[in-house]
Amino acid sequence: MIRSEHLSKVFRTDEVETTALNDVSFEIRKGEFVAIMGPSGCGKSTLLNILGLLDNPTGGKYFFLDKDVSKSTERQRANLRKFNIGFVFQNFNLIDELTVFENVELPLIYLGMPARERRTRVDVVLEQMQISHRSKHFPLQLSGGQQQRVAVARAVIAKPALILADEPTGNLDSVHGEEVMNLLNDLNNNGTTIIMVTHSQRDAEYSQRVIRLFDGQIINENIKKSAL
Amino acid sequence: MLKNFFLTSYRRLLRQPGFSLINIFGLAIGLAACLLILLYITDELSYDRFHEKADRIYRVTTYGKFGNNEFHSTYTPAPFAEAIIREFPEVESVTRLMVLSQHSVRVGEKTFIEDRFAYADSVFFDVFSFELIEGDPKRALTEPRTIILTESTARRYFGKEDPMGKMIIENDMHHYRVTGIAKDIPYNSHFRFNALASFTSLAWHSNKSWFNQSAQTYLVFAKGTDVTLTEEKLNPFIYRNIKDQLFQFIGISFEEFAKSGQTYGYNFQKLTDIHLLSNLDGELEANGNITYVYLFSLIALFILLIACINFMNLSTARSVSRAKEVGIRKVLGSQRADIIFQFLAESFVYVFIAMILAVLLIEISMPFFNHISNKHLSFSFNTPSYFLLSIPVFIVITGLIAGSYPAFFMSAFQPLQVIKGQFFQGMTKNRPRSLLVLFQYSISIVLLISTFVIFSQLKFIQKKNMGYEKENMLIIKRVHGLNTGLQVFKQKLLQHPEILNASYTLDLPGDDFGSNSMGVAGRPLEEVNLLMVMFADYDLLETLGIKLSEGRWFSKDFGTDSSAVILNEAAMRALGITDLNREKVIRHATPPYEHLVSPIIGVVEDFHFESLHKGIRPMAIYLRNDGWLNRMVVKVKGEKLQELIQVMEKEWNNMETGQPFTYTTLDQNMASFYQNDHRTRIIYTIFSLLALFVASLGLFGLAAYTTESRTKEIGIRKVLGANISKIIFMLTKEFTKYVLLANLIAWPFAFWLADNWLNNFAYRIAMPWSAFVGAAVLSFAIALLTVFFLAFKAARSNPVNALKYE
Repeated sequence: MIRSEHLSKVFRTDEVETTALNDVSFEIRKGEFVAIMGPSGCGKSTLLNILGLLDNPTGGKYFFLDKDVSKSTERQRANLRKFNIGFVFQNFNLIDELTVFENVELPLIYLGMPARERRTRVDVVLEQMQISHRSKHFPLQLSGGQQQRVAVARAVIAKPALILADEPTGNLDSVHGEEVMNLLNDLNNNGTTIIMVTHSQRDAEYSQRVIRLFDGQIINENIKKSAL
Repeated sequence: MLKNFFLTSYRRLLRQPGFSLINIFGLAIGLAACLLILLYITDELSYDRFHEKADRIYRVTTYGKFGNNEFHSTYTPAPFAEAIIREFPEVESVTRLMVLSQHSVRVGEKTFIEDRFAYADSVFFDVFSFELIEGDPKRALTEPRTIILTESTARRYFGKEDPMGKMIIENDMHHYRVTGIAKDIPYNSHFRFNALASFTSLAWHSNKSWFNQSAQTYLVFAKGTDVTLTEEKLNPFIYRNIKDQLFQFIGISFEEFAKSGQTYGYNFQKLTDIHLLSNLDGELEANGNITYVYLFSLIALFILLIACINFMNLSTARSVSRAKEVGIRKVLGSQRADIIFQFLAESFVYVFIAMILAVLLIEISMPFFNHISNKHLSFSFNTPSYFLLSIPVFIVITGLIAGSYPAFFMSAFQPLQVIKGQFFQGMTKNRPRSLLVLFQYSISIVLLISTFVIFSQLKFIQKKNMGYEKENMLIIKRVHGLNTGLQVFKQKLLQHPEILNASYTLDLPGDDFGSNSMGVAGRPLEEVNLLMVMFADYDLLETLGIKLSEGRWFSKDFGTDSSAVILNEAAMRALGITDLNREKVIRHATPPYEHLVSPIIGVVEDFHFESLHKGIRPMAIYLRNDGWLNRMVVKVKGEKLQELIQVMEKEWNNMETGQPFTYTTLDQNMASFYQNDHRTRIIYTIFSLLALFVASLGLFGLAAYTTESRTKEIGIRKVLGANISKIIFMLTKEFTKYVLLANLIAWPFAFWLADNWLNNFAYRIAMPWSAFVGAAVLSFAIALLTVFFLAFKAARSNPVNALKYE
């Protein structure tokens, strides 16, 4: 599903040149649950952003669904994103002016789905995430755990093949964190590919494979026995 | 998608009430100002266009140069109409019009004093499309002594009775039969009348003189006439018709007249140009002025622009809080175009709400605006459809102007940066935003300075020595009603110790003076000059307090004074007279009148009998002492004005003239001079204050935002030991810098604008530098006050709060 060949990313300012990713190559197959780990500043988020088509690499190739997208325009990337990728962020990134329902509905609007169909679909997903009783509330009226469940609901609403999660439990206590991880795990069991950046060893336990980054390079790939 | 956009906008609007209020209120003021001015302009442009043949109707104007005096007036001679239709096949019809004021009209027992008592030829309704409710427009004015009344005049005269066929008596002499009722004349007509009598009722209608100009002439050209070509044919026409009379008039041939550099001729003036473009001697109503139309439109647009800039500034300043939303939307697959569209939609929401408020504001301020602009505007569904159509157009254009910059600015956010939070740095300083604030403030300051200058000039006019006294001067009108009782009435009044002086006169400052061509007896005839003419009795000099510079005023001791003349200094210069005892003045006249040769018995110092827009024209004063003088000017002691008016009215009624007592003051008589200037002053003041207010609203919003976004900085600075005054200084410094710069930008513009306006006056003040300093001080004060409040609040807050915030 995803393949990277010699990916690199260099940030330049007037005086400093920082290499965030250096010659990163790997492949992720459909249905995998992969965790990316490493210390702060090792390039995890940079990698995730490139994988999520939020950014282009400076060098190397990135194949998404067997297509080289490393040189795609923002317009093309936006189109690929909305059909194929769901995002879950550490700080939830819900739109404060929209209700739970409307937040979850948003990706479907961008897909151009008719209103009636959207409504059914959102209701189902909110039910799944056990948050339907909060559908008319605004994000700021919810607890962190609830907000993240809304974010997950929004990530899965368009039935994307890939979900990218950036420290999904970083802002949650352990109980709520576990809830969210269970949700992701369920999704994976139903066939969704998940790539997750995390600091937490506990969260990484849910994955089948861990990619460890250090100073922009992969230092080791761990495949758990259970996945084999 | 649309619903989602509007929902976001709507909820954001409610969540940031301060920001929303500033935007909506500012936009509403801008829109209201624009719509009001648009109504005003629509009205100004609508003048005289309701006539069916409006595009083919022209007014004839007379121009010329006698001596050094040029003139251009709306008055035409009586035979012009008949001659032009005889000689020009392209002239379809022609009518003369004379509008007189202060006519007494007696209906049964009641007497009315009628302004706008008019006379017109029988084809009047072929030219103009005024509507008759009763009577036949083709025949109502064919006979002498027939009259058409307007609807409201008829009601005043006859109440509920049917006026058709009834008689009215004009000036206690002539009986007129009512032959028609016209709809009231609309306000957007360059002339108006309450009563319209047949032109043949006037003895003057068959006057043969081409040098006696007293009526307006209007003509309709046949369709497809090239008026410029026709105008070229006027020169031979004039030559044919006036050459004989010119010789009789001043004793030289037309060729000699022309050779000496003097001119006399006619022009055609388009009917629809009259109201806004014409300012000749003898206009029938106060005309508008195209310059003011441009100026007011510009100011209104500026206010709207200032409000739009507020919207841009506040939106982009608050963009940090919007950035997250934009980022998320982009991550979820939104294209840039969607985001642009969303922000535009949002600005439309604001503009739409502002428009509703603007319409309300217009409704509320309409009576006041009508009062200051002297208009009869109304805003309803009866207003022209193109005006109502302009409302959505305004919404779209304003929405686009206000929304485009924020839309393009914010849609350019990279989702990655936003989500990473990199974006938040360096957002408080933004070059385009600074320029916009500068621009807003510069406009406001230009307006402020102009307002100050207008105030100073009008105050100067008020205080300027006119060369006569204008305080405590009462004018009693229509004194010819006294007939033989003139002197008795005067004596009676002068017995009251509070009544200091009284004089009968035909002309007073504030009137439209008549003129005559004059020269020095014995000099070459082509040295003819145009002099303004004034008629007065023995007491005018003392009553008005005019100063003599040479010779003497008229005196009862000299029986020959009735043929003598007194000149002003300007006339002495114009005629080139150095020794008044050696020269005599000749007043030219067409037969049957004789040329009048008069000795000069005195010279008066120049006094301003016309507005200070004009210089002092040469003038000749002649003595009259009979009922031909129609007004009396009375100098009184000022304290008990109302009591004295009652005293005079009582004395008047004792004279049993059968006429009502009507009076005014000299000040009021002269008010029309500066009516437009005072109106400009009021409108300017209001609009510049509005502009300043809207700009300050914007500044407040921006300052609020800047202060808020620097909360952390303020907290850190305080932890490090900064005191309150240092923080306030830091926060206000930047804004005062803007205001200073805005002043520097505004000054040259303001100077240019004010200098142009002042040049409209023959007597003007030097550029008052105090206006510039005053505007600077005021703009500083307002900006400081606006920012200071916020800075003080921020500086006083507990530093811990600020740091916890992050």
